[in-house]
Amino acid sequence: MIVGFLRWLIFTLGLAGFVHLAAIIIFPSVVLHRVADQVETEVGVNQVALPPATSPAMALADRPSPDLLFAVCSYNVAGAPVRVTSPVSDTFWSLGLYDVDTKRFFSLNERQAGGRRVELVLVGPAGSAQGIPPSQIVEAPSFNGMVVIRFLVKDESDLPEIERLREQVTCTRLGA
Amino acid sequence: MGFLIRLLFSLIMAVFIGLGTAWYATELRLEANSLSNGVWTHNTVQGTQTDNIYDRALSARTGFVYLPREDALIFTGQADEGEEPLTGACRYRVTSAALPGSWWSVTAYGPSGQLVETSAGPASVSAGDFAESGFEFVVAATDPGTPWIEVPAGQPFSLVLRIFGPEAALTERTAEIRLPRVVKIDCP
Repeated sequence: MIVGFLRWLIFTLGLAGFVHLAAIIIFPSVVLHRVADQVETEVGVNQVALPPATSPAMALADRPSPDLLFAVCSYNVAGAPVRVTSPVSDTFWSLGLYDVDTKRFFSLNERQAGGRRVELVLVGPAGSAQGIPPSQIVEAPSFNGMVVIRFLVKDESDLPEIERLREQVTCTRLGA
Repeated sequence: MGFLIRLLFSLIMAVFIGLGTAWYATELRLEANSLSNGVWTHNTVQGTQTDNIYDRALSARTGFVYLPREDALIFTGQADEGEEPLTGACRYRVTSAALPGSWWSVTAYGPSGQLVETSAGPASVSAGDFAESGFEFVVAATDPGTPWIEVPAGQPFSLVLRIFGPEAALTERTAEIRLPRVVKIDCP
């Protein structure tokens, strides 16, 4: 009786440990897919979505900042590289690339960008892009993920200019 | 039949225990990674790229797109200097000398992380509203006639301080740099 109960207990705890580890490991990709699905539902894959500031429908953080405007793109580089371009604003600007496990594998801010416009080509794991300068190529660790570009809005009077810049962000599958 | 019932019970228990401990483990990581500075707390994992699976899960849970630490630092205030929880039943004065970054903002959020709903005042103030030497504003449910953040009357809230383009002193000595004070004025 006791031996039977102990066997059952060990089996249950072992299974619980498996569920625990699986939940911890899988959770980040579940979160990324949830956000990517929202973006893809709105604009499609490899397309730029321009969510309103603090949009609850596309919340990328638990306390969305009213100072930031986002441009986001759910990328898929399985079939071909994806070109990402963005103007760089005078105020704070940043570009972050996230893999399928939400890990940021590339980031750039306005100081590091060193110019008025950023252009990069995203390729898949061990991928390449012919005819593209190597300095523009960024290798993604996974075929799917997110591009997140942020513009700081210091004052409401800056909003039209920031919106104009944000609308110039592109995410384009090469060879399409 | 008895075996199947035991197996089903095992599965239910395993899912319950597995998910519960996973959630609790991220709570523990949140606590372990929290740094205090006055009334403010800061999650030191935010904006870093770690291979620790629990920190990655925590980061995903709390919003995975945090900016790198060299781009912005985020601090949360849940209480005043008297260690009383922030509430729209009271008024607070927030004061600070110039902050060590290129830009800052303070924003009020409701209990579930949504921006507070306002009727007459802003939910947020930022560096552009003040002189570069420092700032002082009031957090209250009614207009105090000075720079302010409006919060819902009688409702709990939290403040989030964002410092963009932080100076190295802040990223390296986050716990020591003087951050804004939040002092209760009264509870009218």
